[in-house]
Amino acid sequence: MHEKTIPVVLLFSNVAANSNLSINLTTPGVKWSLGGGSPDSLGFSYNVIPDIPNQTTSCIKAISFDDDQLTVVTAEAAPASSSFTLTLALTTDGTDYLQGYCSLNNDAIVYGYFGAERPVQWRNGRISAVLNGTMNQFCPVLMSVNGANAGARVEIGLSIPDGEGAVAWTLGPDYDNSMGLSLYSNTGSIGLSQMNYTANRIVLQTASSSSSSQNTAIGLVAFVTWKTERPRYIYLSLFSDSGVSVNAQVGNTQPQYISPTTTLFTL
Amino acid sequence: MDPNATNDKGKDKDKGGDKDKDKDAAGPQGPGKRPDRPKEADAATDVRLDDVPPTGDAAGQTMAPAGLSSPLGQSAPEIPQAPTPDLPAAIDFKEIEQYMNSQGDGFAQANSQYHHLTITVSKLRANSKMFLNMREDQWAMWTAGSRRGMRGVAIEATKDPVLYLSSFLVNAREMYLQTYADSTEMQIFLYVHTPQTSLRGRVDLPPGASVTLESRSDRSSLIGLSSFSIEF
Repeated sequence: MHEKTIPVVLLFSNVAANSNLSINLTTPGVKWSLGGGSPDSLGFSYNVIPDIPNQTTSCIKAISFDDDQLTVVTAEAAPASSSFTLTLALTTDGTDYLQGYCSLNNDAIVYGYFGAERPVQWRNGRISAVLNGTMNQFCPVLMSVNGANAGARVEIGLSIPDGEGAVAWTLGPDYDNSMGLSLYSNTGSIGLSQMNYTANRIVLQTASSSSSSQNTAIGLVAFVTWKTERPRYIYLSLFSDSGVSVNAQVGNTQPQYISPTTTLFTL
Repeated sequence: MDPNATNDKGKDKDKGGDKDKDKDAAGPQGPGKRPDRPKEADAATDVRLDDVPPTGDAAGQTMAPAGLSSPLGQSAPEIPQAPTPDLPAAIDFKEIEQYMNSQGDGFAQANSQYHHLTITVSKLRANSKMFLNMREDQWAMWTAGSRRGMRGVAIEATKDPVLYLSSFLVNAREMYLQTYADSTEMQIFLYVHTPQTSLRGRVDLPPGASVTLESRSDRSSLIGLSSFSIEF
């Protein structure tokens, strides 16, 4: 029995108040789990990943999961429509798909990101997902850039400890459903005048007379690859105008803010 | 492996081949804990463990030191050596994970138990964080349990209308809760997957908050910055 654990991100939106929502898996051999991984892994979390919707109030009364069912109970006092993000893990015995059903209000949508694939869209009713092969030579990095005002320059450098081989920014694995390099904004237009993506650094330059709001958060998904053996750590560093902060999540580890000096992330 | 190490690691690795049917005795402390020196009993056990044939444990008897296979109380235990001042080596979590996952179902049931734990967090004030983790030398993981029933991991607001959390995280080794409003009480239910009979860890709470851990047989309540040990 070859067990595999896939990190999952579930983005819930338009969730109603005072409801019992659930996502049920019916495929044998596939179950929700806390996952293992290193002590700094994301595990089962709520609103921890870098590009969460910008809110502090919660709509939740209780969350629980067991092998087959993930249940969210929303509070009576919650707003009529809410959004939040959960992370979880899926443990499979090698099965490369899952089927099940969702019990949600009709307006609600759940975006499910399995590994680093483009998301599935689940609504009330029957659901499924295809679980692609593991990425052996790639690791996704999700970054959220904040405070990049008009005319700001943000540079994110990548390196590894001496003697551990070579790493590079890349477009990601070559199967169809991979997320690839993604640049997005949850709140408005991005307003970039330039983006430069090379093996060692990613450079973003915002437009100097941009009409977008000053506090737009820019989301970026990039991939890191390596030549020979998987390194234990990578180093990211941030060179930017003052006021810019970048929160980065490498693979399935808890996010960290990137410092102007080398910041260590486990792979 | 340092035979003088007093952590559970050395102990449990040597038990690797055991068919220990008596689950309750499957721990370094043994069923009849001597109240005076439980720590020394651990040290003595670990020191002598290389000499004890594995079958000595199979009957589920106490971990009597000095290679004695006689039941508890028949002979006076030897004065154990003081543990060496070397700290036990930090355990690479991958070793723990591999050990937990490498056992087949039969062995896992006999030696690595799933123990239910209830964690109650009281009076966690607004904009504060509760952090709880296992000590680094513990051979244990938080999990959702091993059976296909409907109890797994749950987080609930038991006295408030809403779970006043701006974020929370539970992974295999640690958990934290971060509030945005004053919370009266929240409960976390989950399982500990471990061959140990107890779990040690640390908790970090803001003033005024308290956390209570309850297992099937034990309870521990903490405030502030504390370590804890809870029996299963």
